[in-house]
Amino acid sequence: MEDRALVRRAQQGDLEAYDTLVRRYQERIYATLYHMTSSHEDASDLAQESFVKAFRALPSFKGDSSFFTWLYRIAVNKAINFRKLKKNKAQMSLNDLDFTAEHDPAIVELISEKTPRRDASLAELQQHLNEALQELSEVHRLVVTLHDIQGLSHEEISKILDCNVGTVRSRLFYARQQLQALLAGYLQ
Amino acid sequence: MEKESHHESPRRLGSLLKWKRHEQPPPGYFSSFSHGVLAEIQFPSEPPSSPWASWWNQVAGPALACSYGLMLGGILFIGLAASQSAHDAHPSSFVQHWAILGSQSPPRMPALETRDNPVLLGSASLSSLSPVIDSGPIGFMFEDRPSPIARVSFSPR
Repeated sequence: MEDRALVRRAQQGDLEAYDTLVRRYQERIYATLYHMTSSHEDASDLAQESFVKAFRALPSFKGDSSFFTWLYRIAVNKAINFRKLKKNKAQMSLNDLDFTAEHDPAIVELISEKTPRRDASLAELQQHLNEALQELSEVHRLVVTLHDIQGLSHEEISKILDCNVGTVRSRLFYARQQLQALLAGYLQ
Repeated sequence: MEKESHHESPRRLGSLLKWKRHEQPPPGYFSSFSHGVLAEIQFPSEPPSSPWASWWNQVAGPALACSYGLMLGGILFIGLAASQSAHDAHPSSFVQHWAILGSQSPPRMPALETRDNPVLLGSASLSSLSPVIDSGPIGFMFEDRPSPIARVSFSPR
């Protein structure tokens, strides 16, 4: 069933329809919040709050944008407000890596072939990457999360952030430059 | 060589960032996630307490309770110390005072004696408190002469 029909049913109080929408987007919303907060617990709380808030705001949803974009906006605003409130620099849990990561060709190549520090373990690389991401501002971290990690297009991100595509591109360019500088030892 | 490195760096960064897609929550997390959302929608829990409220609950509240307890303890201690010093300063009068208090019986009420009380004496004939008529003939009420003053006496029950 399409989002639009499910949203219409959820607007009439159908919780089963909303349950379907939650299941459809929970992983993407959670992932965005996880990469923004660097904490499973915080991401979990914010994801739940985002879905609850979205349900309560459903009567005001007119359908001008897709439900997915609208939901993302709620989650992203939650994440930005949360990070403004909590200026912590919590480290991500290094046990959260999916075991399939070790068999990803790109990663195998990255850590075994041309990396100057050949002794760098997966956990060490991950830790440095997370530390570098934490150095970015909220908006730069957000575009990197949405585009480079989650694979959203520039257009989708511009709709979520309510800005033009050029702004998304320039933010992404600046964020990548910063990350390259911060991870210079691992990327050359 | 330098040019190759210049091109390699963004590609490696892209690989590193894609790698983050493999970071997953604990197993089974998403299977129960929507239940939590629906439960929160149907039965909203209390909003998280403000930083001030949590600060009050965790720090200020217990500190205030402790200081209140200490203050009461201090007042008790000061009272005991003051009474001890008073006892040390005048031990005889202190003991005497308590000894008197201990042995003293409550003051007795003075007996009502109408014969010494002009007010009671004047209203004696009108009293309903078992007047005792000492003298006088029986038919004195019908006689045209001033009634003699009767001496009454009574004792409290």
